[in-house]
Amino acid sequence: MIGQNSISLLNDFLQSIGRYYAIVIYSLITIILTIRLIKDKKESGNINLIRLLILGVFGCVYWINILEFLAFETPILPVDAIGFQINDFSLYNFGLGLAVTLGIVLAAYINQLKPFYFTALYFYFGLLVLYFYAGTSLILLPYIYITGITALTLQMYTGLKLKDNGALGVAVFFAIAFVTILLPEEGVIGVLDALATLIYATFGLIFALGYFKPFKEPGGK
Amino acid sequence: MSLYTLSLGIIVIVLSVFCLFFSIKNWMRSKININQFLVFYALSLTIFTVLYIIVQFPNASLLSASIGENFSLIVVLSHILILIALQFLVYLKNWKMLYTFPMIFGVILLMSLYLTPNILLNVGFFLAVFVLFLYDGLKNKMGVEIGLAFVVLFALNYFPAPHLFEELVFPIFRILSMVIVLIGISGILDKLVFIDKEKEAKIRSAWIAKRVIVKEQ
Repeated sequence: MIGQNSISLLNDFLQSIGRYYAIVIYSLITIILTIRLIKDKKESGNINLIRLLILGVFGCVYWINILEFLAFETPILPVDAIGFQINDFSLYNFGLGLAVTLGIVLAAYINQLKPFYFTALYFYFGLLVLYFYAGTSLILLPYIYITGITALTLQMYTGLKLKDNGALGVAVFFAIAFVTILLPEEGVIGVLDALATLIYATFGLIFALGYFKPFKEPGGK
Repeated sequence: MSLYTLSLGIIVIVLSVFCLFFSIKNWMRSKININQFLVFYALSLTIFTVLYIIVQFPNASLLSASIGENFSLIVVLSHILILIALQFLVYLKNWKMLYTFPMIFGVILLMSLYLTPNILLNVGFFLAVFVLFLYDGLKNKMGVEIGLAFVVLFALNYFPAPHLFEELVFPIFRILSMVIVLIGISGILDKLVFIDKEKEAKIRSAWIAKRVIVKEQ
């Protein structure tokens, strides 16, 4: 019979492995996406906004992983400093909020909804202004959850409707990432959370390398 | 409510009714989108000024109640008035990327009203809107836009302020801004200040040409 102590040890071990794994994988993903963006710019002369937004989303997730790594695996940053479990703006929540906001911007851009291109960004930076001004943002966490689920749904819909591998990839990435945010890091469920972290980091790499291609011929009706 | 505030409030109502009258007149002359908007806008301005007087009476304490720090009916309505004007400007300029900005930032400003007693953010933002309207109005020589700029100033005078300001200074400012709004909406500004020199020169040359032809005949 597995004792509570063994589960806790396994959990700590997997969480730790997950953080090291994520920091390596996300470094690679960010480098690959940046190289692709620069290559695209050199070839076409213009910045590909979809690539830039995807880089933005992954860059934010990379930022979150750097903070988690520094706080939990090194003595450089105290855990309280990243604001891991607070409901207001913190270094951690800023990255998380920006990632889901860029997800919405990406969905609006792919669907060519011009009036809504920057709507999510206006709201997010409005919340940031409110935080610096009033000292509280009041609805940051509900915003992150609602925007995250909306971004996921929109990306999934766009991906399936337009047979767009990029949008569907971001949707799958968001879906697994959300599982890791919602699951607690302690106990038996913590083990699942650690496994989900390993899975979504791996998926991120597969996506960045361009191997995620469920649709051989993109472009639906 | 003092007799002084009441009488100045009634003057503001009369001025806003005049605005409504001129906007309807403009709309009857030309049924374009701008005039249609101005009719509704002047109507809401009139309703707002009447509502302000009603709220001042002691029996209407429910309407004058404030939630949180500064979230009261009149302040919220004055915000909405300015935001509608800004939304209209964005639509008029066809700045598609900014279509949702007034609404979204309006929500943030209303939240700040609820959260903090300090209204500096709201005042700062609306002063920027005023400058934008004024700049664009002067650049394009549009009297209506100048009028809308002063609607912003007019609505700013309904923001919470120290008692002395609310009782003595703001009512006079409301009248002054409303007078400029009236001048802008009625078209007086276009006729007297923003004279279209090219158009005037064309009319003048047409008259001279006519005179020459008559003389020759």
